Amino acid sequence: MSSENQKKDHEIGQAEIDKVVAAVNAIKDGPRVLQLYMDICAKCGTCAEQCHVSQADPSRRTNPALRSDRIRKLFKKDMSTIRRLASALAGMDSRNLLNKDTVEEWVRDFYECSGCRRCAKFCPLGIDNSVITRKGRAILHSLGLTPTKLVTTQEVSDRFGNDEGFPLPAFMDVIHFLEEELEEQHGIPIKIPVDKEGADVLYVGASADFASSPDTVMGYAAFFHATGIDWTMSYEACDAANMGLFSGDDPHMKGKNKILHDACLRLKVKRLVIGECGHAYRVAKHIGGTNYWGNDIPYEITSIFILASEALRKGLLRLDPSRNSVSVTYHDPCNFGRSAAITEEPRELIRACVSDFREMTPNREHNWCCGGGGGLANFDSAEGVKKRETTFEEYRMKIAGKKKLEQILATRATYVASPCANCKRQITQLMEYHKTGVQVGGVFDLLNRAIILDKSHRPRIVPPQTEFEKTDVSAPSLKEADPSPAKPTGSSLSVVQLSQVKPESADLSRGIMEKKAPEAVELKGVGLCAVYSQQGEWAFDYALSLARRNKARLNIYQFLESPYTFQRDVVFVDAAKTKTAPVTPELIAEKDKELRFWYDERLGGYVNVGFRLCEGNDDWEVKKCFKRGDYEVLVIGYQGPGTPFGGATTIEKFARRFRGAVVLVGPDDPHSFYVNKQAEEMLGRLNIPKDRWRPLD
Amino acid sequence: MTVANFVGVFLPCLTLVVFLAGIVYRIRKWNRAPVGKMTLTPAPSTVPEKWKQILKEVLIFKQLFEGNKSLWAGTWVFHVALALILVGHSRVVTDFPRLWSALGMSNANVDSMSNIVGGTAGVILLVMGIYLLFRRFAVHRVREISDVEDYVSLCLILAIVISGDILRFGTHFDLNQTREYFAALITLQPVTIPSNPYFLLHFFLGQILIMWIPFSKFLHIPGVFYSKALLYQQ
Repeated sequence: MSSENQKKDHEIGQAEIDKVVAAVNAIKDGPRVLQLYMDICAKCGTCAEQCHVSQADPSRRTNPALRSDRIRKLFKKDMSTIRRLASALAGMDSRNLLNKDTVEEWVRDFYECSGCRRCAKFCPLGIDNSVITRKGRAILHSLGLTPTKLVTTQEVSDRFGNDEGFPLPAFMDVIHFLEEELEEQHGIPIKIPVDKEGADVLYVGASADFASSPDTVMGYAAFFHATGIDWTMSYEACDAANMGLFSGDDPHMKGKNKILHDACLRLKVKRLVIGECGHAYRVAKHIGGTNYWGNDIPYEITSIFILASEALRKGLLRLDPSRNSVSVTYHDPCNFGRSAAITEEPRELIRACVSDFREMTPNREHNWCCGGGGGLANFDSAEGVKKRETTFEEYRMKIAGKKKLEQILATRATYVASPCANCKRQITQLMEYHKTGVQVGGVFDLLNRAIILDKSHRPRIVPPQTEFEKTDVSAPSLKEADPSPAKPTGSSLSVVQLSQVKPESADLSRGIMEKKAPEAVELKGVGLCAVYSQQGEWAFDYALSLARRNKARLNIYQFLESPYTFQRDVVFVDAAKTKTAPVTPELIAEKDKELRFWYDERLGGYVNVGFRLCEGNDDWEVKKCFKRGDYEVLVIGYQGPGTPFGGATTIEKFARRFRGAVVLVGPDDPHSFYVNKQAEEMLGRLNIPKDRWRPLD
Repeated sequence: MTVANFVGVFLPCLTLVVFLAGIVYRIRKWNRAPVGKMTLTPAPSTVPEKWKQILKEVLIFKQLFEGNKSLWAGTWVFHVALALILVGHSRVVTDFPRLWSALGMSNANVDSMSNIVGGTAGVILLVMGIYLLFRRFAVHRVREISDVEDYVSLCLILAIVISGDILRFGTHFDLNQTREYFAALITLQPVTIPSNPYFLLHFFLGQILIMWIPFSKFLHIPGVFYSKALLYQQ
């Protein structure tokens, strides 16, 4: 079905090869930088010594100079007569330079370079191989050979204005969810203004943060609250990430940047502030911004780190470093360190937020790439592999991330602060893959924990309710869900997932105490995180018996991707990690149907059941449903100690942190139960034999 | 046309035309090409600071020093010796009696200085050139990126150095011959070409090298300023 359509098998024929040749020859009238790089490389070999990939895997194809030679030799071969003479003299045989196979190899060659610019830092001739890499990617893009993940992300972004594909209700839902979390954490209402005209600051981060780093976003809100800066977010411009930088697709890059520009004009803000996202800041400030829209744009573009460091110096932040008991090291994202000169500000902030800060070496502009730069962090598949065995994921874990891993372990830190969605995903996976137990998060996560807010302090300006809050999504909530396969109601891919959740009004007057569910003698709802595995079956059996006994509702949450692998994708990857497909309403409907068929026969006629297909595999939707009171205990199959789960490093950590009761079933026995503290308190209602449960810890 | 006439009369004219045309073509093309912003940070914030940094990096090979000390030593010494020798070659074309008298040096002083500095530089250049060639063969990561062009250009330089060293250390070579020759060549008078075969070889290879500059990796000589200026633009 759609997965097949998407993964078009691009036949590379003579027409494509001619296109490549024409694109390479056009360099002779192209930008100065490319012309220079075609001519001046002295082949000294320095880049190979400074490249994290080349260092981890010293094979021929990882040598940066040779990667660039893919284009350089092609360029040199049919230039002027003298060139041709020189190429003949140099033994360059044009027949070997380009054919179907080599064009296919380009996919991996130009996508295995993360464009981190470390080689440029050390090249005695000032050659920045990332420019050639981007040119290669641009050529591949024109042939339709860009890796599927990047293409679909761009398509989603074109449709929704953000890479994660949030429709408006889902976005507002996240905002309300975050506001509630903030109030619970800090004890005072902290508003996240949306589309507030005339605010001083428009804040834009990476949309991935909403899903995978909610703590970071809460940190921003707490920061703005504490400093009293008049700020706003915008739905239209909620994502500063820009895949056009990675795919070499200049029109996309400009189009995505225009969204930010338009929002600044529309909301009449004075400053556009970009969050923890290196490439987003580089594109917004140094590639787009004044370069696209002229020097007289009525707003200034800056980074949240610059704002934070100003606020620190002015003494606007009260921070308690002892609240962050972890030992922290800082990863300089390439785009901050080498392309945007943001190195000291995050350090100032971290030093103020933690008591144990350690530098990794090398650092700042000499830092090693995390191995996921240039958009690589989002690739898992085996694309571009013909003669190469590794999937992108294996490549990132074993080769591209090797230097970073060594560097982090050498600091013995337990927390890596990494202010970039790409780096965060890569380093998180890296730490889990190598079972290091090191936590990964943002800088503002640390601020959110360390910040001391004045309890009597109220936001100075209470923004008026935005019109979006009045939009009530009338789709049924989970409890009324029709057990027949859900029909996708709209074109938006997240509608099925999210719009069923009724946006709660952000009523600031509501206290925290009122939110706690009153003690009930019986269970009203049982949640189950479904997974097709042995432990998943055991968990299901237990959850069903518990629901039957209490005549409770059984709410089954099925993740589109296994929650045990922890990765958030808009692209669906099958279990073998070979086929990818964009998450379309059709795919969601199909998976939803699969889920219902699977459980219908197992439910044995029990009808008080709700199904929910959660897009991706992170856990915040499950958390949200708990808040809404859809269930009081969450049952999960336990695959063993240390398994990652839904955004947390390990399933144990997830269970310990979760606000409600969690019962883990397994890992070796259907009658072995691990319970968290909340579950321990309500053991009487959980129907677990006395000697069969153990506390988590 | 005799070999001497070819190397001494025809080739210099060709070299001049080819080199100038080539380098002007290159520079004009670079100057006219569109420039995007691609600053590598941390970058100097003003134009004078930018050129100061570029000059520093070009003169002391700062990046190589930070990245690879042995390559730095090899190439830096190589380039410095090369620069010294190029400066010294001005005496081949003409003499600077006023400069020497201003410095209070006699002809014998100047000759011995030339022998010591030029001779040492000539030997160092030879040794470093061999080291760089050896490195191309011996270091795996460098060998795999080396093309015929890289070997040819190094060997060409080595051949020029060897023939130059022979001229200095081997046979006695009177610089007055070349001074008269160049004076006549520039003023378009009939020339007497020095007949020393090593001179002819040296002069021939040197001209080949100069002609090759605008069409080879030797473009890194002017190119390095352009590429660094791109990296450090404000």
